[in-house]
Amino acid sequence: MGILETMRLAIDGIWLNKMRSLLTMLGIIIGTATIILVVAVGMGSKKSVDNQFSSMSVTTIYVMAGSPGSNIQSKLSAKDVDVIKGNCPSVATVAPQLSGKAAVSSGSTSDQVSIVGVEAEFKDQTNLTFSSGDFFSTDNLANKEKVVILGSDVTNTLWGSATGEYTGQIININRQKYTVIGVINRVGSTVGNTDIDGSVFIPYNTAERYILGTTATPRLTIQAKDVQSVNTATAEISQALRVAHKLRPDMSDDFLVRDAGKNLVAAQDTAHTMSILLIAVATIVLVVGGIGIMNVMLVSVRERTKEIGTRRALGARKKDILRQFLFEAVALSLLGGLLGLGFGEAVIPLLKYFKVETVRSLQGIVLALGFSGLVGIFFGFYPATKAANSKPIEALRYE
Amino acid sequence: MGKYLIELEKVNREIKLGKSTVHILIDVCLKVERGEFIAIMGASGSGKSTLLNIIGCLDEPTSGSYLLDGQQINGLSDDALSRLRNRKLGFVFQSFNLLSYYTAQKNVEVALAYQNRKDRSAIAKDLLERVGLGHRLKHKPAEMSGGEKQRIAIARALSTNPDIILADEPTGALDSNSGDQILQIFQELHREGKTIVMVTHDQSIGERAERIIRFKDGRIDYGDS
Repeated sequence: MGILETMRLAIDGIWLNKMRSLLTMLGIIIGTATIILVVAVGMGSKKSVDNQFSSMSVTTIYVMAGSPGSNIQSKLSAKDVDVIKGNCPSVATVAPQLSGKAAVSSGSTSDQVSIVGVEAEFKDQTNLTFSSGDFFSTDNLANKEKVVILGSDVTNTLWGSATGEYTGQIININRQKYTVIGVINRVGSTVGNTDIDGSVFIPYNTAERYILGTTATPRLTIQAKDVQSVNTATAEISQALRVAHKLRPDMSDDFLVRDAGKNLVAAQDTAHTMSILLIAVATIVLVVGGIGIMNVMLVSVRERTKEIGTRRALGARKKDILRQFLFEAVALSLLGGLLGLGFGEAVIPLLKYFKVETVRSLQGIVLALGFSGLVGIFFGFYPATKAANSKPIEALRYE
Repeated sequence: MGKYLIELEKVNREIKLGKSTVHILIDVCLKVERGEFIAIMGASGSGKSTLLNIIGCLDEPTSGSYLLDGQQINGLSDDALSRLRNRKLGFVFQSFNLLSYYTAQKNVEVALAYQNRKDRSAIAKDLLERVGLGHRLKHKPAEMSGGEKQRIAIARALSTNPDIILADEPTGALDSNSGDQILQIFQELHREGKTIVMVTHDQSIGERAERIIRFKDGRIDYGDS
């Protein structure tokens, strides 16, 4: 009997027992849908990690105030910038950053926005591009000028559009007037811990003087000379700061040193572990689904013993019987796979709605369908062999 | 050689049940010529059905030789036996053995499908018309009477134009009227030259055949007359 004919036979077999077929496929449907979702979410989280770190150089090191596991009050001060510059040969640049919140308004529109005071190095550390205007000039920075650069979300809040010729506009921060000299293109992610799109940037000294005050604690953004010297630089920074802060050997650090590379690796590890976990779950669901198919196929083979005997008497070879039942199992699981695929794809928009980052991919579809087909072959083989090897006379006699 | 279509020589069939061996067929010798219509008769358990299964290549003798149309059957592969059943033999069973999910026409096409015959639906229609069911091609077995079902089964047995029709109690599940119709079809086929081997325990049915072989306790009963 030809392949096409056998396929039709398998589909007839499924169609004639619609309800049973559907129940049989349930495990496969769920398994396939799980794979589709796992791949979508897995690739989504990889993408968001990549996004988050794409605008960050791996040579970046952050130093923050505070101490892990204790509430020692500490301060990083502008003085520490010089300490690091003076004592750490592996460090290329050091830039302090001050951040806090303040009321920003233009006309009648007003909002609490994060204010970030930055130095000249900030531009190179973040690879920012501007939709209008440019970064602060040396004079802007040195003279504590009242100039600002806006993230795209901020212009959106103030004037209802993310891009536009906003340079020269005047905005109020804490009821003082500032001139806009640049607007940053939308970044879509955070750099370090700074939400670029949602922040207002001003010169460091201006921030310290007029908005955040001298009591605010800066954060240092440091570039190591190259990738190889990141670890050395980290050690040098810790050492220099401990000396400068007069910490005794038995005291723990009152600052945190974090390098971007470590953060990236940690985030990637998390995403990776997550994917493996989800894939393990999907595999288990599919295997359970496959066992379900095997059970039903075994029952089906038994129920149809007489049919098998009759077909053998009419000239079916073992091969023909094997194919008939194997095709039925594969068709069942592939059909279940297709239904699961549709189901999974239908759920993806729902995940989007709950702000879970997902990526639709061909890989997911191929993986899901391939896996369900394999499950059909693997778990259909035993029942099909059993059917093919039943002796014709015994099968005919079976009631 | 070649004179006989079926040639059984000292065929034995034994079944081992635990430690004891049951002899179902003992030294059966039987020669059937092309075109004969024979009835194999005997009480139940006499071995007549086993003999039919051996002739039908569904079962193999424990010892002895079986030539089908001059070809030695012993030791043939499973595929070769399947092919013989498909091409040379047509089966008619007591309980019809139709596939319940197929229409009458589809049922008749099954054996042809294993030959990948493209003209199978035309052949099936012709045969069903011939057995008087031309108007019920698309009906399923459940919608038909026993007599009609058996006529579908006969059409199916004829579909591959086999040399031999093997019928195991073909009227056993039918009322006498329907049974009579079946036997008339057999007799007609016989007149057209088909070889028919029919198993029955009913004397009046056996007598419709040309020759009767009687079985008793696994042996052919040649009678003491």
